Amino acid sequence: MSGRISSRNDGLDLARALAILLVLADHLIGPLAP
Amino acid sequence: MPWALGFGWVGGAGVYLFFALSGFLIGRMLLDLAEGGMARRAMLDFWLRRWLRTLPLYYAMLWLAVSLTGVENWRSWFFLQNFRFDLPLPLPVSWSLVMEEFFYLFYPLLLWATLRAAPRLGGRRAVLAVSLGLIVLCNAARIAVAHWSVPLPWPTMNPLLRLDCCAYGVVAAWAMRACPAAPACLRRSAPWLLPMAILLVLAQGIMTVVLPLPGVAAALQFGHWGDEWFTIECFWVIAGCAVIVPSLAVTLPSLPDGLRRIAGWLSRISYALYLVHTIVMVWVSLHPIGSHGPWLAMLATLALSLVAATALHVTIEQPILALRDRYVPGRRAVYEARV
Repeated sequence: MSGRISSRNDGLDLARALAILLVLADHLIGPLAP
Repeated sequence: MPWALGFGWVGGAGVYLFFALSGFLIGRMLLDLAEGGMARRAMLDFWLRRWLRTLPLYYAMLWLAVSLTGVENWRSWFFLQNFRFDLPLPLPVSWSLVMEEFFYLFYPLLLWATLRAAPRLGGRRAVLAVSLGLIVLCNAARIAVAHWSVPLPWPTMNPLLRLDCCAYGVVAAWAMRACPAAPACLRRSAPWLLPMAILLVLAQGIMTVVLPLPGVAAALQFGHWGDEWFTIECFWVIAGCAVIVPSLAVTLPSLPDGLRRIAGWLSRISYALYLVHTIVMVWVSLHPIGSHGPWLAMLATLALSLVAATALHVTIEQPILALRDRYVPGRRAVYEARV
Protein backbone atom coordinates (compact mmCIF):
# COMPACT_ATOMS: atom_id res chain seq x y z
CA MET A 1 0.00 0.00 0.00
CA SER A 2 1.25 3.44 -0.78
CA GLY A 3 -0.07 6.96 -0.98
CA ARG A 4 -2.48 8.64 1.37
CA ILE A 5 -4.71 6.97 3.87
CA SER A 6 -8.33 7.84 3.21
CA SER A 7 -10.31 9.03 6.22
CA ARG A 8 -12.92 6.47 5.24
CA ASN A 9 -10.49 3.74 6.11
CA ASP A 10 -11.80 0.65 7.93
CA GLY A 11 -8.78 0.59 10.24
CA LEU A 12 -9.57 4.13 11.39
CA ASP A 13 -13.22 3.17 11.89
CA LEU A 14 -12.07 0.20 13.95
CA ALA A 15 -9.81 2.43 16.06
CA ARG A 16 -12.70 4.82 16.70
CA ALA A 17 -15.02 1.94 17.57
CA LEU A 18 -12.42 0.52 19.97
CA ALA A 19 -11.98 3.92 21.59
CA ILE A 20 -15.69 4.39 22.31
CA LEU A 21 -16.02 0.78 23.52
CA LEU A 22 -13.17 1.35 26.00
CA VAL A 23 -14.85 4.52 27.30
CA LEU A 24 -18.17 2.67 27.63
CA ALA A 25 -16.49 -0.30 29.33
CA ASP A 26 -14.96 2.01 31.92
CA HIS A 27 -18.22 3.76 32.72
CA LEU A 28 -20.60 0.81 32.46
CA ILE A 29 -18.54 -2.13 33.78
CA GLY A 30 -16.43 -0.18 36.28
CA PRO A 31 -19.38 0.42 38.66
CA LEU A 32 -20.06 -3.35 38.74
CA ALA A 33 -16.83 -3.87 40.66
CA PRO A 34 -17.44 -5.53 44.05
CA MET B 1 -6.67 -3.93 45.69
CA PRO B 2 -10.17 -2.98 44.56
CA TRP B 3 -10.98 -4.48 41.19
CA ALA B 4 -12.28 -1.14 39.95
CA LEU B 5 -8.98 0.63 40.51
CA GLY B 6 -7.18 -1.72 38.17
CA PHE B 7 -9.94 -1.30 35.62
CA GLY B 8 -10.14 2.49 35.78
CA TRP B 9 -7.36 2.97 33.21
CA VAL B 10 -9.53 1.49 30.42
CA GLY B 11 -11.57 4.67 29.93
CA GLY B 12 -8.36 6.70 29.90
CA ALA B 13 -6.95 4.48 27.17
CA GLY B 14 -10.16 5.01 25.15
CA VAL B 15 -9.92 8.78 25.52
CA TYR B 16 -6.23 8.74 24.60
CA LEU B 17 -7.08 6.72 21.50
CA PHE B 18 -9.61 9.42 20.59
CA PHE B 19 -6.94 12.10 21.07
CA ALA B 20 -4.56 10.23 18.77
CA LEU B 21 -7.29 9.71 16.16
CA SER B 22 -8.32 13.35 16.22
CA GLY B 23 -4.69 14.43 15.96
CA PHE B 24 -4.04 12.08 13.05
CA LEU B 25 -7.11 13.11 11.05
CA ILE B 26 -7.09 16.80 11.95
CA GLY B 27 -3.31 16.85 11.51
CA ARG B 28 -3.86 16.32 7.82
CA MET B 29 -6.16 19.35 7.70
CA LEU B 30 -3.58 21.36 9.65
CA LEU B 31 -0.89 20.31 7.18
CA ASP B 32 -3.13 21.56 4.37
CA LEU B 33 -3.69 24.81 6.24
CA ALA B 34 0.03 25.32 6.85
CA GLU B 35 1.05 24.35 3.32
CA GLY B 36 -1.55 26.85 2.07
CA GLY B 37 0.15 29.63 4.04
CA MET B 38 -2.45 29.81 6.86
CA ALA B 39 -4.85 31.90 4.79
CA ARG B 40 -7.31 33.72 7.04
CA ARG B 41 -10.34 32.31 5.22
CA ALA B 42 -8.99 28.76 5.47
CA MET B 43 -8.36 29.16 9.20
CA LEU B 44 -11.89 30.48 9.74
CA ASP B 45 -13.29 27.57 7.71
CA PHE B 46 -11.26 25.13 9.82
CA TRP B 47 -12.69 26.52 13.05
CA LEU B 48 -16.22 26.76 11.67
CA ARG B 49 -16.12 23.16 10.49
CA ARG B 50 -14.76 21.95 13.84
CA TRP B 51 -17.34 23.89 15.81
CA LEU B 52 -20.23 22.81 13.58
CA ARG B 53 -19.05 19.23 14.06
CA THR B 54 -18.77 19.33 17.84
CA LEU B 55 -20.79 22.16 19.37
CA PRO B 56 -24.44 21.56 18.35
CA LEU B 57 -24.64 18.07 19.85
CA TYR B 58 -22.56 19.09 22.87
CA TYR B 59 -24.93 21.93 23.73
CA ALA B 60 -27.99 19.75 23.14
CA MET B 61 -26.58 17.09 25.50
CA LEU B 62 -25.49 19.70 28.03
CA TRP B 63 -29.01 21.13 28.12
CA LEU B 64 -30.40 17.60 28.54
CA ALA B 65 -27.93 16.82 31.34
CA VAL B 66 -28.74 20.07 33.18
CA SER B 67 -32.47 19.32 32.86
CA LEU B 68 -32.06 15.77 34.14
CA THR B 69 -29.57 16.29 36.96
CA GLY B 70 -30.50 19.82 38.04
CA VAL B 71 -26.75 20.54 38.23
CA GLU B 72 -25.91 23.89 36.67
CA ASN B 73 -22.39 25.19 36.11
CA TRP B 74 -21.91 28.18 33.82
CA ARG B 75 -18.36 27.08 32.98
CA SER B 76 -19.72 24.11 31.05
CA TRP B 77 -21.34 26.46 28.51
CA PHE B 78 -17.95 28.00 27.72
CA PHE B 79 -15.72 24.90 27.89
CA LEU B 80 -14.13 26.16 31.10
CA GLN B 81 -15.36 23.36 33.37
CA ASN B 82 -11.97 21.64 33.54
CA PHE B 83 -10.48 24.59 35.41
CA ARG B 84 -12.82 23.86 38.34
CA PHE B 85 -13.29 20.14 38.06
CA ASP B 86 -13.80 19.99 41.83
CA LEU B 87 -17.26 21.59 41.43
CA PRO B 88 -20.41 19.61 40.51
CA LEU B 89 -20.77 19.33 36.73
CA PRO B 90 -23.82 18.41 34.66
CA LEU B 91 -21.76 16.52 32.04
CA PRO B 92 -18.39 15.52 33.55
CA VAL B 93 -17.53 13.17 30.67
CA SER B 94 -17.01 16.29 28.52
CA TRP B 95 -13.59 16.88 30.15
CA SER B 96 -11.86 15.30 27.16
CA LEU B 97 -13.88 17.35 24.67
CA VAL B 98 -12.61 20.47 26.47
CA MET B 99 -9.05 19.29 25.80
CA GLU B 100 -9.80 18.86 22.10
CA GLU B 101 -11.60 22.21 21.80
CA PHE B 102 -8.60 23.99 23.32
CA PHE B 103 -6.36 22.18 20.85
CA TYR B 104 -8.58 23.14 17.88
CA LEU B 105 -8.56 26.76 18.99
CA PHE B 106 -4.93 27.25 19.92
CA TYR B 107 -3.04 24.99 17.54
CA PRO B 108 -3.84 26.97 14.33
CA LEU B 109 -2.98 30.19 16.17
CA LEU B 110 0.39 28.77 17.22
CA LEU B 111 0.96 27.55 13.67
CA TRP B 112 0.09 30.97 12.27
CA ALA B 113 2.41 32.71 14.76
CA THR B 114 5.24 30.26 13.98
CA LEU B 115 4.93 30.84 10.26
CA ARG B 116 4.79 34.60 10.77
CA ALA B 117 7.93 34.49 12.90
CA ALA B 118 9.80 32.04 10.66
CA PRO B 119 8.30 32.04 7.15
CA ARG B 120 11.29 30.19 5.74
CA LEU B 121 10.40 27.18 7.83
CA GLY B 122 7.65 26.23 5.40
CA GLY B 123 4.21 24.88 6.31
CA ARG B 124 5.09 21.24 6.74
CA ARG B 125 8.08 21.81 8.99
CA ALA B 126 6.12 24.41 10.96
CA VAL B 127 3.53 21.71 11.78
CA LEU B 128 6.30 19.44 13.07
CA ALA B 129 7.90 22.29 15.02
CA VAL B 130 4.64 23.34 16.70
CA SER B 131 3.70 19.74 17.52
CA LEU B 132 7.08 18.81 18.99
CA GLY B 133 7.24 22.16 20.78
CA LEU B 134 3.85 21.54 22.40
CA ILE B 135 4.84 18.00 23.38
CA VAL B 136 8.07 19.16 25.02
CA LEU B 137 6.58 22.24 26.72
CA CYS B 138 3.43 20.53 28.02
CA ASN B 139 5.37 17.56 29.38
CA ALA B 140 7.85 19.91 31.06
CA ALA B 141 4.97 21.95 32.51
CA ARG B 142 3.20 18.84 33.84
CA ILE B 143 6.39 17.50 35.41
CA ALA B 144 7.07 20.90 36.99
CA VAL B 145 3.53 21.18 38.37
CA ALA B 146 3.73 17.69 39.88
CA HIS B 147 7.31 18.02 41.12
CA TRP B 148 6.85 21.36 42.84
CA SER B 149 3.24 20.61 43.87
CA VAL B 150 1.99 23.81 42.20
CA PRO B 151 -1.39 24.52 43.82
CA LEU B 152 -3.57 24.17 40.72
CA PRO B 153 -7.04 22.69 41.18
CA TRP B 154 -7.11 19.38 39.27
CA PRO B 155 -3.93 19.82 37.17
CA THR B 156 -4.75 16.57 35.35
CA MET B 157 -7.80 18.29 33.87
CA ASN B 158 -6.16 21.59 32.98
CA PRO B 159 -6.49 21.98 29.19
CA LEU B 160 -3.57 24.40 29.00
CA LEU B 161 -1.27 21.79 30.54
CA ARG B 162 -2.57 19.29 28.00
CA LEU B 163 -2.50 21.31 24.78
CA ASP B 164 -0.32 18.51 23.41
CA CYS B 165 -3.22 16.01 23.66
CA CYS B 166 -3.67 15.74 19.88
CA ALA B 167 -0.11 16.71 18.89
CA TYR B 168 1.09 13.08 18.92
CA GLY B 169 -1.42 12.17 16.23
CA VAL B 170 -0.41 15.28 14.25
CA VAL B 171 3.21 14.06 14.29
CA ALA B 172 1.98 10.72 12.91
CA ALA B 173 0.06 12.58 10.17
CA TRP B 174 3.15 14.64 9.42
CA ALA B 175 5.31 11.50 9.10
CA MET B 176 2.83 9.91 6.71
CA ARG B 177 2.90 12.96 4.48
CA ALA B 178 6.54 13.98 4.77
CA CYS B 179 7.83 10.52 3.97
CA PRO B 180 6.19 8.98 0.88
CA ALA B 181 7.51 5.55 1.86
CA ALA B 182 5.99 5.78 5.37
CA PRO B 183 2.73 3.88 4.67
CA ALA B 184 4.56 0.97 3.03
CA CYS B 185 7.26 1.02 5.70
CA LEU B 186 4.64 1.07 8.46
CA ARG B 187 2.77 -1.77 6.84
CA ARG B 188 5.94 -3.89 6.80
CA SER B 189 6.76 -3.13 10.43
CA ALA B 190 3.17 -3.29 11.74
CA PRO B 191 3.35 -7.01 12.70
CA TRP B 192 5.77 -6.13 15.52
CA LEU B 193 5.09 -2.40 15.92
CA LEU B 194 1.34 -2.72 16.52
CA PRO B 195 1.65 -5.34 19.31
CA MET B 196 4.42 -3.25 20.89
CA ALA B 197 2.21 -0.14 20.87
CA ILE B 198 -0.73 -2.09 22.30
CA LEU B 199 1.53 -3.49 25.04
CA LEU B 200 2.66 0.05 25.78
CA VAL B 201 -0.95 1.10 26.35
CA LEU B 202 -1.69 -2.06 28.37
CA ALA B 203 1.33 -1.26 30.55
CA GLN B 204 -0.65 1.77 31.72
CA GLY B 205 -3.21 -0.62 33.21
CA ILE B 206 -0.51 -2.70 34.87
CA MET B 207 1.08 0.40 36.38
CA THR B 208 -2.31 1.64 37.58
CA VAL B 209 -2.52 -1.53 39.64
CA VAL B 210 1.12 -1.74 40.66
CA LEU B 211 1.81 1.87 41.65
CA PRO B 212 -0.62 2.07 44.60
CA LEU B 213 0.81 -1.13 46.10
CA PRO B 214 2.55 -0.46 49.42
CA GLY B 215 6.13 0.66 48.95
CA VAL B 216 6.11 0.92 45.14
CA ALA B 217 5.47 4.66 44.92
CA ALA B 218 8.09 5.29 47.61
CA ALA B 219 10.63 3.12 45.78
CA LEU B 220 10.03 5.15 42.62
CA GLN B 221 10.21 8.36 44.70
CA PHE B 222 6.66 9.24 43.75
CA GLY B 223 5.15 11.38 46.49
CA HIS B 224 1.53 11.43 45.50
CA TRP B 225 1.67 8.85 42.73
CA GLY B 226 -1.55 9.95 41.01
CA ASP B 227 -0.33 13.45 40.19
CA GLU B 228 3.12 12.36 39.14
CA TRP B 229 1.98 9.33 37.21
CA PHE B 230 -0.27 11.37 34.97
CA THR B 231 2.71 13.43 33.82
CA ILE B 232 4.17 10.24 32.36
CA GLU B 233 1.05 8.52 31.06
CA CYS B 234 -0.06 11.65 29.19
CA PHE B 235 3.09 11.22 27.13
CA TRP B 236 3.64 7.57 26.45
CA VAL B 237 0.08 6.29 26.36
CA ILE B 238 -1.00 8.87 23.75
CA ALA B 239 2.28 8.30 21.89
CA GLY B 240 1.47 4.56 21.84
CA CYS B 241 -2.04 5.34 20.56
CA ALA B 242 -0.54 7.59 17.87
CA VAL B 243 1.36 4.52 16.62
CA ILE B 244 -1.70 2.27 16.85
CA VAL B 245 -3.92 4.56 14.75
CA PRO B 246 -1.85 4.72 11.51
CA SER B 247 -0.79 1.08 12.00
CA LEU B 248 -4.44 0.00 11.99
CA ALA B 249 -5.09 2.25 9.00
CA VAL B 250 -2.36 0.66 6.88
CA THR B 251 -2.85 -2.95 7.98
CA LEU B 252 -6.65 -2.99 7.93
CA PRO B 253 -7.72 -0.68 5.09
CA SER B 254 -10.73 -2.93 4.52
CA LEU B 255 -12.38 -5.28 7.01
CA PRO B 256 -14.63 -8.31 6.45
CA ASP B 257 -18.15 -7.13 5.65
CA GLY B 258 -19.82 -7.85 9.02
CA LEU B 259 -17.04 -6.31 11.09
CA ARG B 260 -16.90 -3.34 8.71
CA ARG B 261 -20.60 -2.64 9.27
CA ILE B 262 -20.32 -2.83 13.07
CA ALA B 263 -17.11 -0.78 13.22
CA GLY B 264 -18.52 1.74 10.74
CA TRP B 265 -21.75 2.12 12.71
CA LEU B 266 -19.96 2.51 16.07
CA SER B 267 -17.53 4.93 14.45
CA ARG B 268 -20.34 7.08 13.00
CA ILE B 269 -22.23 7.26 16.29
CA SER B 270 -19.11 7.44 18.49
CA TYR B 271 -19.35 11.15 19.28
CA ALA B 272 -23.06 10.94 20.11
CA LEU B 273 -22.42 7.80 22.17
CA TYR B 274 -19.60 9.49 24.05
CA LEU B 275 -21.86 12.41 25.01
CA VAL B 276 -25.11 10.57 25.68
CA HIS B 277 -24.12 7.44 27.60
CA THR B 278 -23.55 9.12 30.96
CA ILE B 279 -26.89 10.93 30.63
CA VAL B 280 -28.55 7.56 29.97
CA MET B 281 -26.74 6.18 33.03
CA VAL B 282 -28.29 8.90 35.19
CA TRP B 283 -31.71 8.33 33.64
CA VAL B 284 -31.55 4.58 34.24
CA SER B 285 -30.47 5.13 37.85
CA LEU B 286 -33.57 7.29 38.40
CA HIS B 287 -35.86 4.85 36.56
CA PRO B 288 -37.39 1.74 38.22
CA ILE B 289 -35.31 -0.43 35.85
CA GLY B 290 -32.22 0.75 37.72
CA SER B 291 -33.46 -0.97 40.88
CA HIS B 292 -33.31 -4.46 39.36
CA GLY B 293 -29.64 -4.99 40.00
CA PRO B 294 -26.43 -3.54 38.53
CA TRP B 295 -26.14 -5.96 35.60
CA LEU B 296 -29.62 -5.22 34.27
CA ALA B 297 -29.00 -1.50 34.75
CA MET B 298 -25.74 -1.83 32.81
CA LEU B 299 -27.33 -3.74 29.93
CA ALA B 300 -30.26 -1.29 29.81
CA THR B 301 -27.83 1.63 29.77
CA LEU B 302 -25.82 0.07 26.96
CA ALA B 303 -28.87 -0.74 24.80
CA LEU B 304 -30.52 2.64 25.39
CA SER B 305 -27.25 4.49 24.77
CA LEU B 306 -26.78 2.76 21.41
CA VAL B 307 -30.36 3.57 20.40
CA ALA B 308 -30.15 7.17 21.63
CA ALA B 309 -26.78 7.76 19.94
CA THR B 310 -28.05 6.39 16.63
CA ALA B 311 -31.15 8.60 16.86
CA LEU B 312 -29.06 11.67 17.73
CA HIS B 313 -26.69 10.95 14.88
CA VAL B 314 -29.52 10.73 12.35
CA THR B 315 -31.65 13.61 13.64
CA ILE B 316 -29.02 16.14 14.73
CA GLU B 317 -25.53 15.29 13.49
CA GLN B 318 -26.25 14.25 9.93
CA PRO B 319 -28.44 17.25 8.99
CA ILE B 320 -26.00 19.72 10.54
CA LEU B 321 -23.03 18.05 8.84
CA ALA B 322 -24.87 18.17 5.52
CA LEU B 323 -25.46 21.89 5.99
CA ARG B 324 -21.85 22.38 7.08
CA ASP B 325 -20.50 20.59 4.02
CA ARG B 326 -22.76 22.67 1.81
CA TYR B 327 -21.94 26.09 3.23
CA VAL B 328 -18.44 25.57 4.65
CA PRO B 329 -16.91 22.98 2.35
CA GLY B 330 -13.63 21.38 3.30
CA ARG B 331 -10.69 21.72 0.98
CA ARG B 332 -10.53 18.10 -0.07
CA ALA B 333 -13.09 15.33 -0.22
CA VAL B 334 -10.67 12.94 1.47
CA TYR B 335 -10.94 14.97 4.65
CA GLU B 336 -14.69 14.78 4.84
CA ALA B 337 -14.55 12.10 7.50
CA ARG B 338 -16.62 12.57 10.62
CA VAL B 339 -13.68 13.12 12.90
